[in-house]
Amino acid sequence: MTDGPDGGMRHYACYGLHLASELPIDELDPVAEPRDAADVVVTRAQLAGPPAGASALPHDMWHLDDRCGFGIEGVGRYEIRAGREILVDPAPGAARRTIRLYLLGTALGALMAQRGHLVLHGNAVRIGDACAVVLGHSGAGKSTLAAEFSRRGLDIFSDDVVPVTSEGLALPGSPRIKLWADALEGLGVATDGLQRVDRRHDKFQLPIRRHPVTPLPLRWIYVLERSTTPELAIEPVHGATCYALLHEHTYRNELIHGAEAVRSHLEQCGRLLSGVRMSRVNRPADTMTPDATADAIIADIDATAPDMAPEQRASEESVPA
Amino acid sequence: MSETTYLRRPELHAVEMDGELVMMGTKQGEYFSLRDVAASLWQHLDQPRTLDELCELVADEYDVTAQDCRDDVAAFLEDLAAKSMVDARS
Repeated sequence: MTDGPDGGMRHYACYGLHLASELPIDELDPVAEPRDAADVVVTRAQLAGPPAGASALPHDMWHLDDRCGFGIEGVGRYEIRAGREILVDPAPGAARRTIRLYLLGTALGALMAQRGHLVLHGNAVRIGDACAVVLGHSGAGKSTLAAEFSRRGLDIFSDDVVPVTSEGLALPGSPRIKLWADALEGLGVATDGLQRVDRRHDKFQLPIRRHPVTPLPLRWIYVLERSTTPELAIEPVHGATCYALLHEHTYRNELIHGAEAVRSHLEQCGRLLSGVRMSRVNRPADTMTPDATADAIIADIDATAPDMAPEQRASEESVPA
Repeated sequence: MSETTYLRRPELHAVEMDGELVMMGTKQGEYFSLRDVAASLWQHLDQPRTLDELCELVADEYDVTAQDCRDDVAAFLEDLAAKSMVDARS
């Protein structure tokens, strides 16, 4: 089974990088005229699992020097090297979209961390010439909220994985949001014609319209949490709590392994926090809606960005169809 | 009886934020922040120190006598040792 009749590489753009891949990756934007050298190369390889001397991490992940890897039962093995290479060894008969799901998620996330970025588990939305990131555990409603922001005309930067550079710039990813069928229904979007994330999940890829986006400074971080209080409340957090929350919501934080990785993660968080306002969004479990949450976050952004006129929030030009 | 010395664990790296020192503990994802006297003591624990030395250092820097701060400093060291953040050596 081979991809591409000539076995040639396909070229894509993601997170500001040029990816050359042996595997077709439908979810990414193709690059028409690739530059000479790709930033990242994705190839098929025979992978035997963790190499000798590797540290075993939770969830079948491993780490050794500038390499890490993981295996997913029935999907395949992945190895990520020095922020430049992703090797994929698909399991026999694995569905291609499921292979890509882990390639674009865990593997690309780990690669961005190897490149020195702080990789957050959340969604980024453009606010004028800056951006806000919404963090939360799986199922907290991040993607539904991103779809709601998009419906309001705000540009969504990326879904699920947000790499942030050492200068505090969030990098734009692919213009798609992964949503469960019930969330799409709640937003009034029909699932006909949408691609399923993979055949085992009732979750779909929703393409979003947005302006061309460039890396933008991260100014606000909101952490979605469930609360037992009747009212939705936004509560600023400070000090060690910020670090604990950033650690908790760092994508695949199992990979922050060893004293050097912990030190470097702490410094990344420290640099980021110097220019960011971080808050918890405490939402009552039974009454929370994406609409009310979006209202509260936008109101908080307006209140804490006194120099920005409300109309600057939304994009001035119309979104190209 | 030889005197116990305390030394902070070398792998614990702290960053400064809003006048506090923030560090991850020895458990993944567990963070601590230290301020004022505690932050100052942490800085001094970069080399092996006895309880007496640490009390003298606090008395140099703050308006307190070594005698008066001794119980607090001892309790702080005990707390750090319980969290495996310092090594105590006799």
